[in-house]
Amino acid sequence: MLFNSLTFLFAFLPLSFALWWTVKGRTARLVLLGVMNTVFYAWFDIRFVPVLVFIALAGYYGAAAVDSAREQSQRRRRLVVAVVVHLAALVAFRYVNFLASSLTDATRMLGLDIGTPGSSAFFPIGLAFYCLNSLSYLVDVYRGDARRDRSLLEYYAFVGLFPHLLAGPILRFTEIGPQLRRLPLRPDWSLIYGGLILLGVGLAKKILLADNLAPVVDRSFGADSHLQLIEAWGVAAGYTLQLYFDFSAYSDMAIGVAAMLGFRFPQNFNSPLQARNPSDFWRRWHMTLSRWMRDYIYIPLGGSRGSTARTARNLGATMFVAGLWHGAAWTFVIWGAYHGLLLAIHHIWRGRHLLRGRLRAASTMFARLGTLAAVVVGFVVFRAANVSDAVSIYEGMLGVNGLGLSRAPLDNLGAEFVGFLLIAAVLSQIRPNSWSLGTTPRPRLALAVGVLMGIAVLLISSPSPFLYFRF
Amino acid sequence: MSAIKPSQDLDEIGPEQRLFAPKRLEVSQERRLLARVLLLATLVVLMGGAVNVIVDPLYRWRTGLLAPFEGEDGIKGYALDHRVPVETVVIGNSRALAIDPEHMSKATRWRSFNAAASLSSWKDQIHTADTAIRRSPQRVRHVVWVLTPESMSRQPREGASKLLDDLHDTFSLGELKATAKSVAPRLGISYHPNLLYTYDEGTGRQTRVRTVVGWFDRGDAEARRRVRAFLEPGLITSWASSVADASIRADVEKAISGWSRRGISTVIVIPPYQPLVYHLGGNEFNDMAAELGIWAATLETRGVASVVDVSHIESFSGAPNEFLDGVHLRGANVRKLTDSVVRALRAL
Repeated sequence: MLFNSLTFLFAFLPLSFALWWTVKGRTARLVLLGVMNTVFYAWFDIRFVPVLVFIALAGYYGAAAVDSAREQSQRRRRLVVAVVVHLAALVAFRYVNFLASSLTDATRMLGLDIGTPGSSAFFPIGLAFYCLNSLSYLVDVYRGDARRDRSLLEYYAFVGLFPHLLAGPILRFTEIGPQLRRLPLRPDWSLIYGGLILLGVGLAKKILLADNLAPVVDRSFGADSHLQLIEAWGVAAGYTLQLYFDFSAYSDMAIGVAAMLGFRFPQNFNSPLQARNPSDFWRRWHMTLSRWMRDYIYIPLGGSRGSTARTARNLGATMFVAGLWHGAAWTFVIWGAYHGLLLAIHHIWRGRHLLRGRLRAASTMFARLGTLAAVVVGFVVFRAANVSDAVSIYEGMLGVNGLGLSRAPLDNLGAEFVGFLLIAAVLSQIRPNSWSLGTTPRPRLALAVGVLMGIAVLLISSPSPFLYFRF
Repeated sequence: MSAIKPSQDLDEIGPEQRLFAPKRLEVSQERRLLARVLLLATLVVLMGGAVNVIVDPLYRWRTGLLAPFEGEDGIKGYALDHRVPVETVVIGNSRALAIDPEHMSKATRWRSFNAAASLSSWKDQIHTADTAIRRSPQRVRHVVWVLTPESMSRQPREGASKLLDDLHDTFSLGELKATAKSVAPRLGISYHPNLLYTYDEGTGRQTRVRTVVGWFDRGDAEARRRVRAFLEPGLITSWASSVADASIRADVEKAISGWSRRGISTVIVIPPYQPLVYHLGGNEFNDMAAELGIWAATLETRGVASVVDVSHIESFSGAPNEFLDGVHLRGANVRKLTDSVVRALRAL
């Protein structure tokens, strides 16, 4: 079920809200939550549900096994087994085709053709997200950062909590477990109001902005698009803004829906397109993923404790994994490696204190522009269906097909696209962002969000899925 | 695994996390604000809904005050831009462009869209329909499939359209419009919000099929020359083997069965040739054309699909001079063919 569908907005959400605040008793409410989660997920494809249940069981019993082990080596072994089970599920559903095709390509280059078999295209939406939730719980229990959950019902409610199930925010048990243990009995209207604002803002961002940028971006990212310089940059910027307004809209709506049920989720976006450097970008973009990568990949690798070269290596490796997590394709690997490189360069640059005093202050604007450009360049390969499509756009961005000065960009991109691009660009650069709108009540804002929400609902005819569902 | 606390490395990647905690309000204030949001949203939805129902610019309620497929007006463009789902999708090659979706929408009250594309193969056409269905799974009710020997042929088509490649990746109503608009000039075809019309080879003008001057207006000798060029012997052999090809037939049946399982019915249309084509085509061509009709009839008998076999103009009271060339219809023939399809759709 999509958040931006009439079924969700006018049936599932009101019904869930009413039942949630009516049913009394903790166990009954956990059962209700489990049912809501299952129905929400099964709405896409009932075959997804066993996968969710499997991951929940793997996490729950894996953590129990880790917790019950007496010796450290035994704990470690059990943790490794549980982690492997999670990764095996991910690999089975997502990476088998990728590995098989890569192996075939490699053997062909050597003059052999081993003809590897493919697997089915069945991929449970959100698997990569709830796997990370479950993995973080396992590691936290192993480290002693989280207490083992003794209620399977409660753990299933955590892993499958429907607002975050499909595309995050990626949660930690340490922040949701206590909330599940002390379920609020009465509605917190301030929280519900903030949630409603986020839901409305997210709906408007998705339907009024992201979906209106999509047609031209989708068309232009086809192979052999022969875009000229201005068009290519327009399309690349268009995709960056589409992705931002699409994914952050989902996060806003997820946080908003959770708040309406009394759950407090962590922030996932903080005006990332205003970042001043790559490191700043990753503190603002998909914050819960970068937090996960930091805590479970970067720091265990050594973090920034070693030499500059070692830190750069750790950053590169972490972002490589982050890229691969997004999907089984070389485009994501390249995107991750590219961001790893950006972070490593920034780390070296910062370590040498190349800019000081006034020069440093004056450079802020250029730093923002430079970071934005680097992010836009990176998202081209992230969006492209394959490397050659990305190369085609990059050629356009380098002016290989011409500068595009002789023909108006409006001709090919369309006035409508350029209009939405400009609106989205301006909105991405101003404050307050949706998080602060949700946390700071303002009477005028209530009016504006009400109107925007109404318009967005009217424009729902055939809801389009959120971009991050594919990851 | 290291047990280092996260806070040591916060300066690199990963933010300090905070949980959603809106500022607390007075009880009266929070309820007032909440009511304001909900009331305004409801008001806007009700006002918009009223406009929708009464004026019906998107043709959702079929009040008929403003039908979206009424000529080249802005409402049609608006409807297409906003991805209004279609209920009847027409697929096929350029010969399928003779089916007029505007007329079909009005006559059946099901929003129709002609997604046919020149030079498309049967696989292209299946893909196009699948994509349209995927985009609007709850809406598409019928597929009108104009099956021709040319599109069933395995022989590579000269200059297979870039348009099709683009459509494969991006098909949706809005995207189709944008794609077609951008690539149509490169292909030498004109763009119409609902139809892609070929241009007139004779005059070089990009004009609408229904008003264009065709071969048959330029004298019998010219028409014969063109028909002979169309009936290249190698091509006829290729069409004949394709029409009889079991694997292509299986593909077609599999696609139709798949749509049927989703509650979507299919109407197969066998479009007409100009009589001169049959006359000059010889036995091989006539046998091939008949074979296609026989196979389609068996599909109907087996309940796979409804069939509108108008392969001869007599079967739909077509006029021999209302052809642009040997295979493409114009003028009154367009309306008559569409009427035949409308009748089949109504009978479903």
